[in-house]
Amino acid sequence: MPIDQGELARRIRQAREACGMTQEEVSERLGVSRPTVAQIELGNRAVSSLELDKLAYLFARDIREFLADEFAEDDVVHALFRSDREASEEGFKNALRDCIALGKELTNLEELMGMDRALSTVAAYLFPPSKSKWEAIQSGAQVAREERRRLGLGVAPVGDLVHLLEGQGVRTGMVALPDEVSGLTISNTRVGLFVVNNQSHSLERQRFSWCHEYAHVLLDRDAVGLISRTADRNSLVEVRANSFAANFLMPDEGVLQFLAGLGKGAPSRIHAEVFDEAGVLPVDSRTEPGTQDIQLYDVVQLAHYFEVSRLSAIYRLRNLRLISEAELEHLKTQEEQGDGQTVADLLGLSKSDATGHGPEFNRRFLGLALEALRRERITKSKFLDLARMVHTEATDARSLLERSGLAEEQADEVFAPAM
Amino acid sequence: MNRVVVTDANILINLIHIDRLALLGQLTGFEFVVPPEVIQEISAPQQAVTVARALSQGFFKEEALVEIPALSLYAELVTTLGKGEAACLSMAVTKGWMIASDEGRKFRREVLSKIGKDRLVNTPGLLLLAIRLGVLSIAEADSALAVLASHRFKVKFKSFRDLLTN
Repeated sequence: MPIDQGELARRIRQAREACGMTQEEVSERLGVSRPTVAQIELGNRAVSSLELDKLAYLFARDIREFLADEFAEDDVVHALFRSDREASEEGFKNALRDCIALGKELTNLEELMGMDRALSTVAAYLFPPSKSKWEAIQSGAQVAREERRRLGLGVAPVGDLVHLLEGQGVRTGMVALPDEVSGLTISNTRVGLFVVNNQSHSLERQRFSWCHEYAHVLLDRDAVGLISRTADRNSLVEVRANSFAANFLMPDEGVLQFLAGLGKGAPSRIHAEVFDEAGVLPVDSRTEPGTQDIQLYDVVQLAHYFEVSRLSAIYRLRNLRLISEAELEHLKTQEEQGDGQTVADLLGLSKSDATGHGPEFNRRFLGLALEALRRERITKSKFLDLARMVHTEATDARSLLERSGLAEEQADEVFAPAM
Repeated sequence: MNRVVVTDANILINLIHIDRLALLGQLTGFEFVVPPEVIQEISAPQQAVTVARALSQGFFKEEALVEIPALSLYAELVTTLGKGEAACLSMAVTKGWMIASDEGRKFRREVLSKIGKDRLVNTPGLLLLAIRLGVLSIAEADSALAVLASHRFKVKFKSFRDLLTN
């Protein structure tokens, strides 16, 4: 049964309250007075399609929700707007809105193209919540090993993480988040499983964040919406995700093999016993003192090989007990002084401070939209709306259509009104 | 009683290209309506100024979509159509209006399935109507087609004379 004006008004008010927004804030975003918003919410003033579109964006809703038979008054995604401390910042709220709007459009495009990206097809690991940091570290490492095995990655570097995640049914997005937020994971039926990275962070940090958020996908799916911020790094969920990320990016065996190639990483003392039928022959060997000490240039190469930050490589070496606490501090000091970057530059391994991958997301999003247009699932005008969402200039979007052979307009028939 | 035609952005842009936006105010028996979504789609600054001026001169009027059945249809259509297209088609369906659009493919199919070809008009159709109403000469309309062709909008006939004799 179709809803009436009063019901639409009630839903608009509930959606606003679910996001913790005031009428004043809504009026500013809508470009109307506060009393007008109040009148809309009382059902005394009709809301236009243009306004309803803006309200849907502001309240992170699908416009269809306002007019459907059933209306979900609240869900966990909207709770993110209220509960998170960054939610008081308008920039963060906008980033979240962009993520959700993009997630919905991606879901829509995939559905139009008949792509099966149901949440149920993505792997999940059933682990009870960790009771201590140690347990969180162990379970993160264990799942990383299992997942590497499941994906057949062996001990090699992971490669392109965006492709890996997308291949596993996880949507990836890149938006400008506050600096202290590395990423977020959203999981619901409208948005799908959507992992978002901070486009202003360095490439290596983004790689770590992809893995961190992937851990939330694999282990914390029930949480529905998780924001990863620096200030929460001590929470057990975050510790587990960080442990997963470090182990997934730099597997124990992979690190040891790489260091072996540099003539490093062997224990200072090796003891073995050779058995034959007559008895056991003990064999001891010691490495020459100092030869196994890991230097900054080793860290630079290790970080480059696994495409991680040098700092994350340093901590990984410490976790694997390949360096001491004192060595960790020394290497960190060198890195902080800029020595790591200089060594990387001199070794010709200096792409580390590049930021980006925003274009990668846009490329995939626009690629899907172009294909949907070619298959006539969407119109050219819808394509232009989608291009606008990923900040593609109208002229660039039109040029993309022309170069793709989808711009030609031809009036194959004359439609004239009868007089 | 005037027939109301809800007008999409591509029609406005094509009429701007041929400097004939005023036609919309000259076609006796027809009244042209543009939803705000369409006005927002005219993003080129000079074109936006031209549209605003035409609006103030009363060549067409702006009308928002506010009725619940129209909003419901809009919400469904906007998943596959542009916002302007979705607003136009929702209005045309729920108010029984005609629609003016040059878009082919998917949008044309939606229009034909929802309101039928008798309620669809495109730029060549508007020019033909203008000739029939004596607002435009055949030569003027033909030269407009040449301008449109330079903007990648092509038709399958050589002259409006061919259409009038058929």
